[in-house]
Formats: sequence, structure tokens, C-alpha cells
Amino acid sequence: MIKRLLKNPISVTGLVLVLFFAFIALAAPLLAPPPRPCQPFLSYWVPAWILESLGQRVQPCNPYKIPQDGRWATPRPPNEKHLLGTTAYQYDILYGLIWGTRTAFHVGLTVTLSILAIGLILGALSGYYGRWIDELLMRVTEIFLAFPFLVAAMVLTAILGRGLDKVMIALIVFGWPTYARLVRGEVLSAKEREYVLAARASGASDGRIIFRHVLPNTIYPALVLASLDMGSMVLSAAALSFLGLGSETGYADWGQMISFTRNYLTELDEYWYTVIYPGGAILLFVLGWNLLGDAFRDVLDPRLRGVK
Amino acid sequence: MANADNLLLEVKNLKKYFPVRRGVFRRVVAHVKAVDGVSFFIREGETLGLVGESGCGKTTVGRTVLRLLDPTEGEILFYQNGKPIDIAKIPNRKMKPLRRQMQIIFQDPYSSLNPRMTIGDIIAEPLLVHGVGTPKEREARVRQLLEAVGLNPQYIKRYPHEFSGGQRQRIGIARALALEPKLIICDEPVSALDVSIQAQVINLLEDLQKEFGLTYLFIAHDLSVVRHISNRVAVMYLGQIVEMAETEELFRNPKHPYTEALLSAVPVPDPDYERERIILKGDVPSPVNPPSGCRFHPRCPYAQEICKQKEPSLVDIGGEHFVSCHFSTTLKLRGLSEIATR
Repeated sequence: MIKRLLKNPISVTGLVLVLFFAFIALAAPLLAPPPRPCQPFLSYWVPAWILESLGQRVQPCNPYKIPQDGRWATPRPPNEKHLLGTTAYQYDILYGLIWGTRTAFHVGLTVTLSILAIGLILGALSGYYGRWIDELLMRVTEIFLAFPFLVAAMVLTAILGRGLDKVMIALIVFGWPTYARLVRGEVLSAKEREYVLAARASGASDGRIIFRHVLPNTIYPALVLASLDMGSMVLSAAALSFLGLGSETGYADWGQMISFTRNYLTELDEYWYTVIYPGGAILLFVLGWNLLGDAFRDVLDPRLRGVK
Repeated sequence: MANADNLLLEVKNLKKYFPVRRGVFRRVVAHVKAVDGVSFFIREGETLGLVGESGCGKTTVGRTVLRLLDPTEGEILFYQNGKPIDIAKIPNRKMKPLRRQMQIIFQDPYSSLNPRMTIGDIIAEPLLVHGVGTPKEREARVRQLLEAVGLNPQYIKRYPHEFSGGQRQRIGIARALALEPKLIICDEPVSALDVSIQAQVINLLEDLQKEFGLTYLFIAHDLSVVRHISNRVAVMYLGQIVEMAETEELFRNPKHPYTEALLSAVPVPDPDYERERIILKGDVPSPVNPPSGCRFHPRCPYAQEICKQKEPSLVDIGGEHFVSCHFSTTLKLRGLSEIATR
């Protein structure tokens, strides 16, 4: 499977991009150490509650706050002190990009895994048991799907209030119905297969049938969609941040960094660095996941297994 | 219906209706009467062929007998040590021990094996579900089963897509044998296979029957296959059994016009051969709205006024030859040998 992935230059591009961003995210404390380092050093990677349960003392610390060099409103071009320049209000662009990678993964993984889990459970219940459960769940998904995704998420974020966690909640609330629909359809077709009947004929329980026979044959399309959504959910979060609904001011978040430059978008010949760097980061991140998602789709097809 | 010795399965007046739902509230507007009052019996160690055209309810009978579908009405008596248990009435959770006694072989060898499980896991699953043996013992049993159905035991770690249709059907047979059942429902087990492979699988089924003392309900639409393997044959039309008799008796001496028409369609391996085909008028009526009286009357070449009004019942006309026709004793119908004469 991995061999096939590595043979296709497009898949390799996707994989390299995603691995590159993963590396940046993991190495962020080393690449861009915060002005006031966090203590202990492990707290950059291990959540505070785990360290505390191991008896470590963790000081409150927020490395995601982009350091500011003064309060001057006009961006400054790249220089020795700020390698990629500073955006409006003198936030360091390089620092924001590096820590923003962590934010992107955080948002992408949380949202995608949540909607994948909800979609799998509800879709499997709906498709497998049918009747009124199906009727109820599908009418609910239709209500959610009736709203335009971004507008609905925007309204919900505005109601919940500003903050990255609110953005994620809104994306989850309006993101799961697609997955529930997808999984339900797959389950509907898989449960009529004769191997499911054969398992029932030998006395297998519903749980065994769902987890051993139905889900393994239905989960892959959802996984492919999830890998594509890793990119697009980050994009949606960036859009919300750009509109000023996302993270608090100064939080390392690509969408917000573009939002800082709103006043300078008409003078890009001078202030290009304020848009190109964070915009490029979003573009490459989404592109990477899209290419990888396409590759997954091809590779996970069992009929292609063993084909050179 | 039958004298009680050696009975393994007796089905009485079995009905299976599928509701047709419409509208927002999923109101039931009609029923598809897939099986509508079917009665038959199978003795231990014999093969009962169940034939009929597509959509007549053969498969539904098979699945209802196994309680893969819940019957709407009727009795399904399964005899254990001479004592009948009504499968139609016992609750689902009490079915499990009975499932060891009855298994099924499916028509489509491609959709009947889970593509994401190895052959070993597929065949061992019934054993695992019933908690038979340790993992080692189960593997030994799987190897033994693979050998019994003529496959190399080393294939145990392979996936279904690595096998041909005939091989896959053998894997399905091995799975059905795993729990040493008494009754196996063969739901068109060879109709998806090449003719050359069909003979191999049929012979395998016969050999296994002798070796393990199996009883088959053999569902098919190919009359030559059914004639070869069955001791007795039941003919289904539109959810009902119209005729049931010992195989040679049924083929030589059919008593129902529908059986006669079916027999006239059996191919004869002689190119010079000219014979009279009985072509039935019209199509099979809808099982939502079956015709009044005898269900076969709109297509029957011998139909009379009474056929429209009165439904005939399945009666024994002697020697366990059951027919459901008002004129079963008066009609002169031609069997296979007579149709075959010039």
C-alpha cells in the first residue's frame, strides 16, 4: 500500500507537504522559541494535565501569543530581526506562521476526528437499524444540510462568542451530517451483502456484524473524505478568523494573520509579505491534504490491492 | 402432510409478506406476498429441490426457514431427536443454538465472502461465534475443512479476491460445514458459476452429503441440475408450491400445467431434435396483487371457469405426489420423455 503511494509523484507531493507541516508543528518551540519560554520544556508537547498527574509543576504559559515589536500600525518588510517582516501592529510573521501550523493541525484534527466519529456512529445506527431511527436521524441531517455550511458556522460562532474553540464547535455542529449521510449509504449497501446474511445465519451478534463485517467495508470512503476535510476545515476556520470571528487578537492563526492585513490589501506591491506568507501557508496545507486524500482514495480500494 | 418418520424439517402454511410503504409517515399501502402459504417437508439425509422462475419466492422461503427473515405466518418445524421445535415462534435470542444445525450456501460467491477477511477468518467465524475450541483447534478445523472442499489448506491466510468463482463457492461451502449442521440450504449455489465448474461443485455437494449425512434444501431454477441432485422436487409459482413429488415421478408424470411448461423448456442435447415448446402467455403477475382463484389461471392453457373463482389446495394424489390443481386427475399432461418424442 505504501509502495503504491510512493510511486505516484502527486501522492508523494501531498505526503511531503503534510509531513513538512507536521515537522514544523512539532518543532515549533525550537524553530521559534517564545520570548518567555514555558516551564517545564516538555509542556510544549505534553498536555499540562498529564504532566501534573505525574507530579510536575506546570506554569501557565501561552506560546501561541505572537510577540509584538511595538504597536505601530503599518507593516514592516522583512529585515534581520524579523525574517519575514511584521504584519500590522508589528506581529512577527515568521513566529505566527510556525505556531499557526500547530493551530492548523489542532483545528483540523479536532474537527475532522469529531465529525468522523459522530458521522460513523450515527450513520451506522441509521443504516443498520433503519426504520424510525433512520427516519429521525436522516430528517435531522437534512435540516443541518439545508443551511449553507460557512454561513451557518459563522452565525453559530457569532452566537457562541469569539474564540478558536467556538469556531471548532461551529464547524463540528455543521460538519457531521455529510459523514452520517455517507456512512449510512455505505452501510445500507453493505448490510444487504450476502456475507452479512452468512454471519447472521451463523448466529453472530449485531455488534460483531457491525464492527467485523459492515464498518470495515464502509469506513474507507469516510476516511478519504476526512483526509480531504483536514484541509478544508482549516480553510473554513481561516475564513471565520479572517472575518474576525476566530481566535482572540494576537493568537497564532493563519486566518487571523491575513485578517490583520485587510487595510493593506489594495497596496500589495508594497505590503505583499503580509498576505503571501500566511496565504501561502494555508494554500500549501490544504493542497497537501487534498493530494493525500486523493492518494488514499486510490490506495484504499481493495480491488486495487496487489496491483502493481 | 407426511408420515412422521425421519422428518427433519416440516414447513406448514408459511407466509412472508413484505410491506410496501409510501408517503411521509411510511404508511403501509400494500404487501408483496413473496411467500403465500407454502407447505413442504424434508426427510433426514435427502435433498429436496425447490424450483421456480425468478421472483417466485424460492429464496425468501430459504431465508425464512433460517429465520434470516421473520415469517408473517405459519409453522417451521425443525426436528431434533424426533421432537419438533417451531422456528417461526421462538424468540431471536433463542435461535443461536439452533443455528448450529442449519446453514446456508449463497448464490453469489462474490458477495457472500467478506472482502476484508482472510479465508481462515471467514471459515472460522461460525466456530468463533459459538465458542468452539481454542484458536489452535479452530485453525486445525479450518485446514481440515479446506481439504474437505478440495482447496489447499495453505490458502488460509489469503483474501477472497485471490480466488476464482468456483473456489470461492467452495470456501462458502466450507463455512457452511464448519459447525457440522444437519440441514444446509443451498440457495442457487451453482447458477453464478460456469457450466464446467457447476458439475464440480454439484459433485462436491453430493460427496459431502454422503460423508457427513447432510440434508439439503436445494433452491435452483435449472431443472437439469435439480433433477441430478434431488430426491424429491417442489415446484413454486408466485409464492406457492404447485406440485411436489419424487424427482423421476415429477419429471415423467407432471400433474400441474405449470410443471409441464417448465419441463418443456429443459434443453435436450441433440441439435436435430425438434419438439414442442409450451410458451406461456403473458408475464408472471405481480405478487402484490395475485390473481384470484388459482394463481396460474391467467397463463394456464387448460384454465376453466372454476380456476378463476376457487383456489385449489395442495393435495396428495397418491404416493406423496402433491398437486395444487382442480384438474390434476383429469388432465393428460406430458412429462419430459413425451415432450422429447417427435
